[in-house]
Amino acid sequence: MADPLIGLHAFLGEFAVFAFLWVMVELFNPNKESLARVKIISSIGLVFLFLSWFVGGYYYLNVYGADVKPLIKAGPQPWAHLVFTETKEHVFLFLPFIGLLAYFLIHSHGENLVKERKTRHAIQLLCLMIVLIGLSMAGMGYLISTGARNALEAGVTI
Amino acid sequence: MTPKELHAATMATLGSIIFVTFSTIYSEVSAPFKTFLASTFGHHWIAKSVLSVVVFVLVYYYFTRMSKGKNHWNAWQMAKNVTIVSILAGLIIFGFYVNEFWGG
Repeated sequence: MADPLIGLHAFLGEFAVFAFLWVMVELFNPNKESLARVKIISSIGLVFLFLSWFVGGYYYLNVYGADVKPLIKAGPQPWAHLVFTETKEHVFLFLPFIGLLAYFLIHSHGENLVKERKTRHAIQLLCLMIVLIGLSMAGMGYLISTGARNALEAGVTI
Repeated sequence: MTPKELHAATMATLGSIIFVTFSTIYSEVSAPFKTFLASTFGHHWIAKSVLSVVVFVLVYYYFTRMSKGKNHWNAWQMAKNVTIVSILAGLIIFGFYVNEFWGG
């Protein structure tokens, strides 16, 4: 059975992506009520991004490195670790900072965002980056788990 | 936050992304650097995580306290800069590992 921590990491990351997607959509046609929602949802998204960082980091350091990494490297798809885990663990680090910047912009401008079209577009662009990078994390996670499964199916033991 | 602080936060975001990209690649090509990161922080990834936060705080501090001006800023231009740098940095890291594995 997969370690529950990896499920929690994926849950937190995916819900952070959904939160910033929600923020992006709300900002297409904002009003006072939707901006109140945007403030709450962006706060939740940011907290989930940081929690995903900590949970994913704990899993990576304490479970993945000892049990999964050697399995993938000895299996038929070592690139799953050597290309995709290596990329994922580093590119992920962009997300909390972009999320924090989006959060600062949203909470600094508040209700003025109804009038400030360019600032709304700036926040939407940052949200889009979070969504795209976040979805690429999910895709790379799929490739990494495929690498581990295929190693097990090939009879690799560590 | 004031426009100056938002400008500082943008520069800090760019600084952290560039630091992560540089330290990722440099730690792969320089074994002593990777060993230094791992021995100082327990693991090279913890080192990059902690230091990226340190870079964010230092760059933010520099642009809010040390630098002059920037009392108005262009949010759209800054978001574009963060987007372009993020995409390029992500592609550089991915391209590096692709080249390491398949490039021979």
